[in-house]
Amino acid sequence: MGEWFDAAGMLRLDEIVAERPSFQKIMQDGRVTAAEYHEQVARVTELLRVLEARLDPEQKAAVTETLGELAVLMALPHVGQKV
Amino acid sequence: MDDLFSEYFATSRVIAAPGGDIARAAQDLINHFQVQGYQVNGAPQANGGWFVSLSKGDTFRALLGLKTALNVRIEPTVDGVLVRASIGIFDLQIIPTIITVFVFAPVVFAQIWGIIQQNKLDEEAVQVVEQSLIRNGGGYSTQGGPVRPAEPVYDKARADAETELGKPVYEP
Repeated sequence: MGEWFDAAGMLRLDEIVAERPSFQKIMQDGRVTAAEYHEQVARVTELLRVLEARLDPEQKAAVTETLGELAVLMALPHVGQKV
Repeated sequence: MDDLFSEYFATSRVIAAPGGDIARAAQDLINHFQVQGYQVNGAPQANGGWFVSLSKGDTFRALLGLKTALNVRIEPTVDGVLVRASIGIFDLQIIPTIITVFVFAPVVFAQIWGIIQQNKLDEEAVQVVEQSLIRNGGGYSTQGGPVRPAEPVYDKARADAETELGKPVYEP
């Protein structure tokens, strides 16, 4: 699994995402079935459970904060009025 | 609805150039960056404007496999000619949904925009267009830039108005 940032300090998580079989499958046929969607939801849910179990309290706090702020960032385009 | 990236990672200027040749300005912009080794594409728009996309090397890294770029829109408006240089995907006028919904896109775009601004690439693009419009049709910038009349003639009325607005005044 690669580093999150490259040598120049640029975030490269998108490259890691692009290598995911789950992502490549969706991009391959450009279609998302209900089954694929539910499968991805289940995958993420399970990953969160496994992750939580592996983290000590301090790590869990850091990951919780990161995930929370990431969710806020995702919500921004859909909430409120651009000014 | 415009994507947020084109709104928040953008530099805009309105140039009052009633006779400004937008097509000529777009070509000047294309030529300016092509000689510097940029990959550049341009296309006229139905509204009389132009869309120019430029990209090069490491600054414009790929995002989910799509090459990023500095996209420049040159559009006629009621106030003059709007020039907007914003982050985008090369040769695409709309950022694909796969990018706009990608959770890490804002971070990547912010980093690329930081490099663009550090190198003043956005300002350079806007100034090339501005100078071309002024050269070919007269006029002056109404936002964000110094006043540059087409002819070196002292216009007292304009100078008085611009002094009132707090803008730098052209003097002979």
